[in-house]
Amino acid sequence: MSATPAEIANLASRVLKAWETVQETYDALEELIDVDTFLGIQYAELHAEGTVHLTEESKPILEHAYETLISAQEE
Amino acid sequence: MSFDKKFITEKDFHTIDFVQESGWDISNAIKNPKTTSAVLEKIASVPSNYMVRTAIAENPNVTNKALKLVAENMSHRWEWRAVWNTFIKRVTDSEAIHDKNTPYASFILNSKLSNPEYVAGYFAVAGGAMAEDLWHDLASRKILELGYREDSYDGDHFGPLWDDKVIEFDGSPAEYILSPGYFCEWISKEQKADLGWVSENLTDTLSDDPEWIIERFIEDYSDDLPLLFAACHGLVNKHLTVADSKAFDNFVVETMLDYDSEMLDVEVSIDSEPEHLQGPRFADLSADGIMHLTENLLLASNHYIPKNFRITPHLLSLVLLHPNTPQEVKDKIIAADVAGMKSTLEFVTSDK
Repeated sequence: MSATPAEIANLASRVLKAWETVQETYDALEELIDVDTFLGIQYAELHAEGTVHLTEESKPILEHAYETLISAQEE
Repeated sequence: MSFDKKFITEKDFHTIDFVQESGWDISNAIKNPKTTSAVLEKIASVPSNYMVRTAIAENPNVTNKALKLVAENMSHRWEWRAVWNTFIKRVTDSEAIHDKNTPYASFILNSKLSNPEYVAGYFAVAGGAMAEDLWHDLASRKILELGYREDSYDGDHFGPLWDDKVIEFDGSPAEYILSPGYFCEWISKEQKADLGWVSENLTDTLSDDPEWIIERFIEDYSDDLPLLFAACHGLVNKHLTVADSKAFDNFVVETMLDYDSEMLDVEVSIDSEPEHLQGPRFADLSADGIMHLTENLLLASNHYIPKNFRITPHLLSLVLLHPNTPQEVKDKIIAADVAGMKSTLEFVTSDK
C-alpha cells in the first residue's frame, strides 16, 4: 500500500518520539536494537534535521522501528 | 629445512636452495656484512622474492652489478627504498654532485655530458626539483592535471596521478622517488566526498558487521558515524534522497574525516610558487638549454637507476609536453622511444 510523504513524515516523527522515551527508560538497548530498528531511528533523525527526504521504500523500516520501540515501552 | 646461519657463504649457496626459503631469517643473513660481494652477486642473479632483493641492496658489500640486478627485478617499495638509498649514498659520498633544490645546473644546460653514471647521479639528486618545477608549470597551463591521494600505509600520493591517458606515474617507483607527497608546499587541498563510492563502501561494512556500529550508536547517540552509515544505506537502498546537497556533503566530509579520511577524494589547487626551487625554471631555459638538458636525460635513461625507477621516462614526458620545448627536441625524444613513455608518446604523436 502506498504512503504519502506526509504519512511517512508522521511515521518518522513517531519513531523519534518513541526512541526518545525508550532510550531514557529501557535498560537493555543492545538487545532491543536490531539493524532495521537502528536504521529506522537514524532515518527519522536525518529527516528531522532536514538533510534527507524519506521515500515510500523507507516505510517498512520505519514501521519495524516504531513497533519495536513501542513494544519496549509497553514492557 | 630451516636456515639458521648468521650469514651466507659460497658453500651455503651451493648446498641450500635458500632463495626458496623466503623469510626474515634469510634476509637477515643476506644483510649481514659478513656475506661477501661475490655471494651477493650470485644470490642477485637467481629468481628471488622482494625481501631477499631488499636485503641484498641493504648489504654494504653490494656491488654495482648486484644492485643493478636487484633494480632490474624490483617490484616492491622496500626494494625501491633500499636500492635508492644505497645508490644515493654512493653518489653523494663520491662527490658533491649537486644541490637537490636546483633543478637545472649550468653544466647540464651548457653541454651534452658523456659519463652516464655521473648524469644518472645528477638526475637522481635533482629529479625531484625538476619534476616539481614542470608539474607546477604544466598544471598552471592546464596541460597536466595534478592529483592527491591520502595513504597512511605507503605515504600520501601527489603528482600527475589522474590524467593516466597522458603520463604514467601513479604507483610507480618514479612517484616514490620524485614526489614530495604530503610535504608539497605550493598546493592547497580540499577533501570531497564521492557520495556513491562512500555509500557503497559503508553499506557493505554495515551489512558485513552491523553489531559494532549499533553498539557505537547505543553508546553515544550524538555520534555522527552511525548516522552516516544509516544515511548511506538509505541512499543505496533508495529509502531516502538528499534534500540539501551542500549540507549533506559537509556532513559526509566532516564525519569521514574522523572515521576514514582516505575514503575521501582530495582536490588539489596550486596556490603559490615552489619557492624552495633555486636557479632558472624550465620556462626560462633557452632552446639550446632544453636541447642539452634533453640529451643528458637521454644519456641518463640508459643507466639502470633512472631507467628502472622510471625517472628519466617521467622527466622526458614532462619535457615533451611543455610548449616551450622546440620541435627539434620533441622529435629527438620521440625518436629515442624510451621505455616507460608509451602513453605520452601516443598522446603527443596523435595530437600532431
